[in-house]
Amino acid sequence: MRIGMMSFAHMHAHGYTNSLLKLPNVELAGIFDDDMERGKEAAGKYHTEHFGDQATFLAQEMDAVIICSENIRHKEMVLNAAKAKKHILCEKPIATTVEDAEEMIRVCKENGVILQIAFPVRFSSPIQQLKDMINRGELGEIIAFRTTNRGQNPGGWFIDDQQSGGGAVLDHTVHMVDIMRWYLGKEIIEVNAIVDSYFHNIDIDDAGILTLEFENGVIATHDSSWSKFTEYPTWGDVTIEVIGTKQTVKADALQEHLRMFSTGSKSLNHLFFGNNMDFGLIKDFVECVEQRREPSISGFDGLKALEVALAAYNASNGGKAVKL
Amino acid sequence: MKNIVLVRKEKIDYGATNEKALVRNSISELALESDMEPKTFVLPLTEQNLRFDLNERFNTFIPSTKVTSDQVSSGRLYVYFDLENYPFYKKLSEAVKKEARRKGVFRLKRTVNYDEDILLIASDLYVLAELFGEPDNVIMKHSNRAKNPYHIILMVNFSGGTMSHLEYTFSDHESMEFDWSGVKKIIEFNSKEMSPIKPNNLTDLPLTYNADAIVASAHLADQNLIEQLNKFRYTVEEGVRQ
Repeated sequence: MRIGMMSFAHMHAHGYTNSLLKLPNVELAGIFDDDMERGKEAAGKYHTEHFGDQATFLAQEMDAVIICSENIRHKEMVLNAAKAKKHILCEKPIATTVEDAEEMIRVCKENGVILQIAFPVRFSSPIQQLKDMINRGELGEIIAFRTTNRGQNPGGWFIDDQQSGGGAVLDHTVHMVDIMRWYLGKEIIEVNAIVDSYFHNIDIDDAGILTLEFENGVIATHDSSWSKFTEYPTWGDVTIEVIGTKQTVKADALQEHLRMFSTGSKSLNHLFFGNNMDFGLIKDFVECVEQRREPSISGFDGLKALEVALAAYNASNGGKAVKL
Repeated sequence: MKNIVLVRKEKIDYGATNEKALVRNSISELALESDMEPKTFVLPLTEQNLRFDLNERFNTFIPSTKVTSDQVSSGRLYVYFDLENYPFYKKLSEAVKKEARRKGVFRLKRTVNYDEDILLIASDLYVLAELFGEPDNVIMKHSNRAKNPYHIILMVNFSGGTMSHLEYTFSDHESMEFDWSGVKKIIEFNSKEMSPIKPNNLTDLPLTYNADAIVASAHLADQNLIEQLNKFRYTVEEGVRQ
């Protein structure tokens, strides 16, 4: 199977490319990036061809593409790739508006190509184990969720609203909303939120808390922020606590680590040794394309997660709950 | 003056309490205390002890969840707040107060026993308002009361610039965790991780405080305190009714 990379704007492109190279049945078909310097550097690193022109790249023989552009360009690249009959794995968030996301889903369907959204947290072992426990009924009925996704300020285009479409709340809400929907099989119907910019003196949000209600009455909180700084022992966290009628269980996707103490400005470092979520995601996508099956994480999943993140901004701006 | 502290017995860390704190079972046992020496008596928090009126001879210290509006006038009734008395909360408070700008995210999660008074939440709001400023806005969500555990969420925008989630699970044990994410400063606490004895069920530590701390931190039950507390109680009671 031949898979190409579209843009290295998002740092996850490296994790995904490394994962592709681990799969024996996959060949890296090339890299499109119209940031010529970035594209050439990536192509050199991964020993493949660089394309500066999107149409030329998409004219190549390949089965699928992985899109890791700035958020605002997801739509353009997904539409072009779909029309070129390439199956697609698109970095989250699916888009920056609901309308764009709906159009992307529609065009992919019309062209008969798979659209999968990159939510690698679904492939974290502890997150999957908790899902299995819920499915076996070991938590009883779910009462509430408590989630976090907090990290460092990624800088660059992420803090430019014109390219990202939103800050920490957009960046870090969609993962855990997806996990909650996945665990519960229900949709969120109400969003309350406080969104602000506290930590980095930037013009885009870097802090946000969300209070959510699902259609079956389950309530939830989420903390999505870029509150971590470089001296913090780790990049951040990805956690979910599920309060059930039988028991409460918490999963932390980044908990498996060694504590390494040393001198210097960062005296404590967490050395993560848990499973590689990116690899799980890429392996699943490749299997999906091979088997021509429905994606495990669909465009619709991406859309529903996006809706909640955008509703958080509206709820905060309007000072009242947003109904979905 | 002598002090009477009414408290759940498992909450007191006697190892950290001044030697003049004397344990008694019932207020009736204090009738014979006629000397003038200042002493603090620690008594179990029972309805009987709460009803006993020795205010003329003693300062009485009761938890904030038990004070009522008609108890204002005596001048010898003091109210203490559970959260405020924990040593780890005092450390948090000291650290946050050193910040020039208290902008950040504060998340509190308490698991409390089924029989805990829901007004504990109002008491926590009172304590947190002293640290982060008056709540500008409180949004409350709760689970179905008929199902266990009962779970309550408060989303609070404190006027000092802190956004906050306060979460309460009414269950079969006690635990507390919080984190404060400020500008270049993060403080984290989890009572399960900080238990100095493992397994955790062998000790009440660190969810204990001492009688001295209660006496030192308690607030006179005056009109102002009652009004403030009632405001938060109203918020909580309205929230759970919705």
